[in-house]
Amino acid sequence: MKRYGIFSLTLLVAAMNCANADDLDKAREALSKQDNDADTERALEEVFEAAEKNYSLLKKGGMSLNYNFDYSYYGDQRIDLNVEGSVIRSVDVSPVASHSFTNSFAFDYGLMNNLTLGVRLPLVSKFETQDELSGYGVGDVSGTVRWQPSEYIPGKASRTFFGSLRVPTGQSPYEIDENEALSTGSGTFGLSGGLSTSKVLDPVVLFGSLSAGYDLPATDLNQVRGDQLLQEVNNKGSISASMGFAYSLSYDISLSASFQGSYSMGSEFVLFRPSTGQETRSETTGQMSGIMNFALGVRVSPKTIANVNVGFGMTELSPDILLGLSLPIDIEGSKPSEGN
Amino acid sequence: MRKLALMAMLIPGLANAELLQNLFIDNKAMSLGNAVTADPTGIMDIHYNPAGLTKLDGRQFQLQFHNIILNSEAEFSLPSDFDESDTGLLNPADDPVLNEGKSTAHVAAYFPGIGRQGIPLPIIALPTAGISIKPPGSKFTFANAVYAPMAAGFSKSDDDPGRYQAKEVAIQRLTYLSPSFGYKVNDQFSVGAGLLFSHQAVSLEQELRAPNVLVGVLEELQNAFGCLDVNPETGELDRNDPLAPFITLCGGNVGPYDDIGTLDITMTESLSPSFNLGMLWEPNSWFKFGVSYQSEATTKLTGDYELEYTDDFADFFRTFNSSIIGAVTGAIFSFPQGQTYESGHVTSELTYPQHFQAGVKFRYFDIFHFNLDAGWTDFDEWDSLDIQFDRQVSFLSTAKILSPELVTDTTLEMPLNFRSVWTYNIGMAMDLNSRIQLRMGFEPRQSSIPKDSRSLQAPIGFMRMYAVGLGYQWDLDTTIDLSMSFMKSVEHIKADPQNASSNDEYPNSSNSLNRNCLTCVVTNPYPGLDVDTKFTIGHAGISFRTKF
Repeated sequence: MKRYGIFSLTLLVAAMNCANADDLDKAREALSKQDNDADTERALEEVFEAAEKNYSLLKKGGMSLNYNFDYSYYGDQRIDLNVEGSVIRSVDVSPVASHSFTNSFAFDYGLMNNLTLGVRLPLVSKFETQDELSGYGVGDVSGTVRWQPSEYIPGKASRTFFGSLRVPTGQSPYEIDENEALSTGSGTFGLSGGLSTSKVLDPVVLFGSLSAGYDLPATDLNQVRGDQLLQEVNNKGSISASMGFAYSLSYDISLSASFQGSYSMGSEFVLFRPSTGQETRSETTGQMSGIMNFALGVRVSPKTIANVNVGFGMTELSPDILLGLSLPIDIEGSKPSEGN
Repeated sequence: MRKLALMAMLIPGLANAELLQNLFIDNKAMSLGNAVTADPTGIMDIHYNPAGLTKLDGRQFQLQFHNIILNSEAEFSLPSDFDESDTGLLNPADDPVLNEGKSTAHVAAYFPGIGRQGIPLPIIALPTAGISIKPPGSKFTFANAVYAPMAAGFSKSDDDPGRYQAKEVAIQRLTYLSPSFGYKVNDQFSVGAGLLFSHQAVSLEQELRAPNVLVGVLEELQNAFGCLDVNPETGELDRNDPLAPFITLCGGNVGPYDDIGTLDITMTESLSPSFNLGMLWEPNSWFKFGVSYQSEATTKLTGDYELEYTDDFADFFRTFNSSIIGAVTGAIFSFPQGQTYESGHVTSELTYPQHFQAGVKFRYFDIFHFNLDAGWTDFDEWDSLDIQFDRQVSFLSTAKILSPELVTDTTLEMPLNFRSVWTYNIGMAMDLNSRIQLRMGFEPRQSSIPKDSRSLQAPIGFMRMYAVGLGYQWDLDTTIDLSMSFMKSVEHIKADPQNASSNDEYPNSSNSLNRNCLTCVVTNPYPGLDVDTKFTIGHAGISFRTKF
């Protein structure tokens, strides 16, 4: 034990020495920029906007295109029981890993100074290890409207109302052979709306939001579930809240931490058993899910901030690991430069 | 019994794919017989050889239109030495398609989000578009385009005699996002690569029938019972079942040339990634050498199937199952229960084949150009198509009895037997002046479909594509390419001798169209008939490329 301790201490000291020598100038430079308060505040807002798109609006006529990469991982244990009559013949517990990669493009357009429209197109790739299933596909396209009723006054909390519509363009989980394929979408139209607010307390931005969502029923289904057919899914709606803060470490780097919680009120499944002609309705109860997320914003060029985030699920139904990368794509730059 | 026609359905549809691969992508490429691996075409080098993108300066935009006239015909006839006294229980002379005239087809396509659509127009226009950006002073050129690297589709009218081999079919791959780059290593050497995101669709509708000896026996029994005699007083069918309740065969009219129903199946994958690689070497002004590779893509197709049976067919089985013998044999062999409709979800896997092409370009006397390419496509991958159904389908349970090696209660394996082929491409061009280049091309397109796997929808033996074209430099920044091409395939798929009975004795027929035997009927809706097919494609296209 002791030897390990000494060894690691040595390493740490060495690293500190190194860091001191190399970064002293850079740190000084970063601090000197903080002298200009207006500058840092603007930088802070920029960082915050890059990390939390839902809280910011574009100027009239403004356009932005963002690329996001998200990875999520679910780990699970699956129990296979072989039941013959009333006797359990064999039990097999096997670990299951689900990997999900989403590349998405989000385009925003400022219709008015206080009204921004957005659309998001995800491209989803999923893998599941146990049955060696994979699914590639376009995910659910969604559109959002963000509206700020009153003009933002520096120092006051800003309020933004938002509404979104999700269109089931992805592969529905209710319209596939569950043993052979993975879904890339939710299978239902979804509506949600809410209010988000943020307040700048230099060098920190506090933010929070509250929203409610409703999924339209999925009807006319014809999916095999054991010896039954799934015919209808009725979701009962959900309530979500998020809160967190972003902290600016320097002109170039910021950190943010946030919590997102969501309570879904359960769903009703309508199943039909062809052998008996019997229809059954089964309901799932309400469930809470929570995610903790940490993001690092790095200014990679004077106009560009890249965000990297790491998160974890706090409940059984949330992903175990979340990783993400967000980058703005410069669409203004593809216009011809002047004098060309 | 139903399986016969059912299994026939997908095979011809898929076979079309080979036909329309590497066509209608770029007008310059078309006019040079696709011999362009060493002769950059423009933004569509994303497909042909991404290293060629380095030739595009600044920011360019390209729009192309391909106008296609497609004519597909098939004629059915009895063999010239046909002897009606020697036919047995299945008499090809009774086949009603002999009196239905010529089969003709027009174009069909799959529109993501909408579905398969027949396009009843004599000419269709297929647009493609792309942009390229080379930042000033950079060695990189970036490009993106929307195009269809593989597209084929046919649609026939409801009473067309060819409706038993895909009444409507569309198989296509639409590349909707293709971020690619070319990198100029030095003045003589360039490389390039691209990542392609595509939508893959396989969709078809087909009428089903079972021209099989066993069904011929059934029809004979119905005739013997007088099932289908019309009662002179009521004007309706007698449906007189002399052996009821032991066996009932008069529920509905069935026979080898009676329709069973319609199968509709659509499978897609909305995101199918693949990549292209290429390199271009230009050691001097008179010689160029290019190599390109298009990766394969394994698409996991998911979708739906629908089976709608004719009333006669459903009624026959409903009545049959209600008899004592019917109830017993029906349970043993899982005969249809007499339902008129079945539907569910299907899953399958289709590999978009990898393609390799290499080419050289010579320039002599400053104004003459000669291109020669050789390409290989890995169609060996298309050995069979395996479809997984999400539930027990009664037609599969029935088909399983005759063909246990291909069918289970929930899966269907359809043999394709495609083979990989090499194809050569020749292109010639002459610079008339600094603005105009005249072009001509020739591509002898080898068929991936062996002789005994030809079908009504893919009568594609060896096809020659002849093309001419013109390149016009409108101004410093704007290029226009025109092309016209023509190709034709004529096939005569003869029936076998009437007394043929073992595999060695089927010298002429195709096992996907007109073979007549008890065990190989599964893919053959036109047994014992001579089939003559003619397929022609005419194309005229224009592309426009300019800086913006």
